[in-house]
Amino acid sequence: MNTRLVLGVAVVATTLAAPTASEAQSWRAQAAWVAGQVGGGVFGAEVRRPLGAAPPLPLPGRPGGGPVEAPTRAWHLSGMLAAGVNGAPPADSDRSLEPLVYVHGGLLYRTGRTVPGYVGLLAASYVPVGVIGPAALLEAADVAALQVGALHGDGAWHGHAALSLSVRFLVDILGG
Amino acid sequence: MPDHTLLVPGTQATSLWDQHETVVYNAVRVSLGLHGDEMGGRPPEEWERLLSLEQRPDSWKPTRTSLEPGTEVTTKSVVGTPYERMLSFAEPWPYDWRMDVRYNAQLLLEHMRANKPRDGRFNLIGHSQGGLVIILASKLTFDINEFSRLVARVVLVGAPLAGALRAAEALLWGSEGLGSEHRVAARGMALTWPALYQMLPAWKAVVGPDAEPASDEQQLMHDGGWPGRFGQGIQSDLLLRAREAATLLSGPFARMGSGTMAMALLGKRQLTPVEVRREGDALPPEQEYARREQGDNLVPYRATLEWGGPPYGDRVVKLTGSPEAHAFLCNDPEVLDATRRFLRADAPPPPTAPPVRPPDSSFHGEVPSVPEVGPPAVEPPSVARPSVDPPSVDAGDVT
Repeated sequence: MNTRLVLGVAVVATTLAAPTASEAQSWRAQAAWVAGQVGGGVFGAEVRRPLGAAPPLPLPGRPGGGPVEAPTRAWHLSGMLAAGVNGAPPADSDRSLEPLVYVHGGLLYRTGRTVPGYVGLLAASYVPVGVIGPAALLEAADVAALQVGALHGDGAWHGHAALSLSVRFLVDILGG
Repeated sequence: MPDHTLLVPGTQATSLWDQHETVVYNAVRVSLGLHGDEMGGRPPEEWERLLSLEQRPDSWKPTRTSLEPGTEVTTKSVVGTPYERMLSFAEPWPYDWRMDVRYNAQLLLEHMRANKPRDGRFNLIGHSQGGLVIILASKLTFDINEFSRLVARVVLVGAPLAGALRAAEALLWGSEGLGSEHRVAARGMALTWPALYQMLPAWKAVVGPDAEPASDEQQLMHDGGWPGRFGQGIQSDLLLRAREAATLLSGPFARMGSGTMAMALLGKRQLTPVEVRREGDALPPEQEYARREQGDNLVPYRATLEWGGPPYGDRVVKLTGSPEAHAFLCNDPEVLDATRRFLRADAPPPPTAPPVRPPDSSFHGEVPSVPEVGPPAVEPPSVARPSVDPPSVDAGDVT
């Protein structure tokens, strides 16, 4: 079910990620759970790009005039592609682990300087489990994100929750 | 080979290790309180001597990197959390952020000389103190064109050209970073770190009861700025180093040459301490600031702009809206976006003249036997700044 749709989202997200993946991605580890379908973990890259016109830069040849201003752009596109393993789905309980691909694309809003972080709405999907649907994301300080939603697959909606952590943060707190 | 990007991180971002490969300071663990009651296996009563430096007045290089007998503190890695999205396109350059900034600047120059991309140059991103290291590297070359031949682009992120009152905090009251119960030890080790002195405010940050600036001699870069118990442990040699560095940091792009393009990003939306009140011979017994201004919560915007001078100001991007605070500026989307676009822009060609090298370019950390560079005392920004970049330091005088 939904295989073409899932693959379509994967293509869109990968396209979104491609131009910037080598420039500013964040490596993330995610523990995920989808009721009745999958509980597992993935590791992958998330990229983010602000929407709106970029402010000018003080490049060589610019006449004087003092500093240029860069106001904060609030809205951001987010794309993530990750791979890992999931535990046994109930319908396939004789199998212990399966490969898992996670993909999301969505829109994030910066919450500002009082509580630095992001809130957002994502289209998330797990392949080949075949669930796709909306998820809300709440992220703190570019380090940890909690995401909850409802993903559709096998003719039914399933609750979804995932916790993502920056891999670099994990390495830091482990003392590297 | 294309240009290669180095990230010179800020104070504390390089983890410190001992000779047994044990991490003795990791800023992320410390900020989360995960170091508990031990640091690199040492109990709290040993922390001060573990992380203290020993200096000789005639050398930028410390004579000892730890006062713990038999211990040598070194650097190997940079914490990733404050540079999460920058590390995907920049290689971190670890350095010991406690040491004289000029010593680290010389080490950076040596690294670039030894590792210059064959068909390209370096791009340098400097966050906080890392920006000061880059500026001073540009001012310590023997050949005026050498920096341009090594470096195509420079991006300074929250670089405290004029210092930061927060640097004085650790020397006045002791940082609470290691825990409020360890402030005395934190102050004790901080008193031995030249880099911390070199980030003391260059502007008149000490004011009297009437809110007017105190005299030059009572400012924090002078011995007279540390009355009574606040002066205990303050090292005159390190205050002198602070004044020397401040002079070099004015006109930060003056020695980068026409072959290097440079940009500075400064936050301007967070309240940042700029003044501390002195009454007679008394400074506040606990952390207390008389006035705050816009900045990035550590680097004040106006004082930094004034210290840099007008040509520097024309290369500044001021971050308004809701930028990240100082420590996390490199994760700010606007900083990332501006940095990526700047690094993609065509850089001017490097100078074509053949390099002229000093007879012996190896550096051993010794202070050059030349007269003190620039005026001995720091000119506060309340005095009118020169309308152009101050005359750059002739590197021939210092290397």
